Amino acid sequence: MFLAKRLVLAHFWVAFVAFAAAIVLGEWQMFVRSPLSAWVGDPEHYYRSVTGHGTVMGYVFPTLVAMGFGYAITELALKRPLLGLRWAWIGFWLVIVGTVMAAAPIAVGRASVLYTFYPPMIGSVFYYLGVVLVVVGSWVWVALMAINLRAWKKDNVGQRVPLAMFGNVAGAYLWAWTSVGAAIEIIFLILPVALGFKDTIDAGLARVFFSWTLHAIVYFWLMPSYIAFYTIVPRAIGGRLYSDTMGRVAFVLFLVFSMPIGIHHLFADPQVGAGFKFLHAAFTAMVAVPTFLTVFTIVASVEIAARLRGGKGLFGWVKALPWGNPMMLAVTFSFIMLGFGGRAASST
Amino acid sequence: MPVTFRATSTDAVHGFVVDKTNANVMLIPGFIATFTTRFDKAGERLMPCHEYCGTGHEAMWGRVQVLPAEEFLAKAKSGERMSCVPR
Repeated sequence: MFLAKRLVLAHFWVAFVAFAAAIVLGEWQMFVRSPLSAWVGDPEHYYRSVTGHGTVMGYVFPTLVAMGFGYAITELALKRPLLGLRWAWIGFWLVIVGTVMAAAPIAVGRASVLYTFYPPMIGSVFYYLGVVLVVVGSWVWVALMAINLRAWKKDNVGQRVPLAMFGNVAGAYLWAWTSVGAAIEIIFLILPVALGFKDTIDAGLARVFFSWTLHAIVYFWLMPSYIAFYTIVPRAIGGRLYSDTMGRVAFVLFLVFSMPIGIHHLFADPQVGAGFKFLHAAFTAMVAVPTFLTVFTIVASVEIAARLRGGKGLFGWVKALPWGNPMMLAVTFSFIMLGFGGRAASST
Repeated sequence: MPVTFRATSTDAVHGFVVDKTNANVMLIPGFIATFTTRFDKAGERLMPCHEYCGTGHEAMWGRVQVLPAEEFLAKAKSGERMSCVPR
């Protein structure tokens, strides 16, 4: 009989847990003593990584998501094949080529300008050309969204545009307008200097052009989520959308109010006067409205689903929701993040 | 007493901020940022650059000494540039 089993196991358990901890400390020593530590701690490398992170997170990733989601909506909501499939692929490859073209100088440290690339700091020409190619690829998508909607409307005269496509095209137009600011800044102000044709640059004007893009781009990023909130979530959890019209109103309000608010990124800048700063601050307050509308409409739609499942009470219906459904959890977590992010944004 | 700052930059966009005070502006080459503020408490404050301006941005910071008005005016009476660096 092995009577001392628990005793032996106790010794071995503690021994090997301590071993694991000591191994981690050993890894730390290896890291510090290796060239990797100096490489990781080098501020210049850090700025390269911040630039790469920002450029991909801000210009590549959300653009590709919006484009792909948009093509899917075009076929699924309009129930017809996408017009211009070959052009769509051209747009896709423009984005890929642009990304690689911008990533190369970032990686070798010749474009550590961050995704905001504020002049007079100037990076490699290829960084800016890469960003321009990504944006041009997305403009192909914008054109295709408009073309596909127009063809559907011609074949479905007098019918209401399906809500998902409505939001999709609103987002596409929002992006088309928003991207013009940074495009002007890059093409007319930065590239001449980066190519060596000009020696001077208006740094204040460049910041103003960039601020045109810098705010509304976040609504371009937001659109796929809001389209999913309005068109996928209610039925996925067994309810229905509280108000289709509210959704359309929210999308139009975003299209209108996201534009004239970029100067709230320039409140501390000397080149913009107090008048425009005040105007943009006032409009910024108004752009919170479509988000409040969305929160109300989606929570109401979720409540419908809950009460259809037998939920009762002022707040008790929350328990009746299909918490086992991934879509339910996804929208809940998403709303929590939206709450934190939106509250942080409105209070600054 | 209120203090007026007039500042600009010659190379890149920098951010000028004096920690825990109302002093916060962008320094844009070609433009002069002017603002007036009061410093309510004397003491030492951190003054980092808060807009990425290239390699070295992480090291671009200093300490600001906020002096009581009388002490400052006494030091400034000679009309020279002032420094808190001990000679």
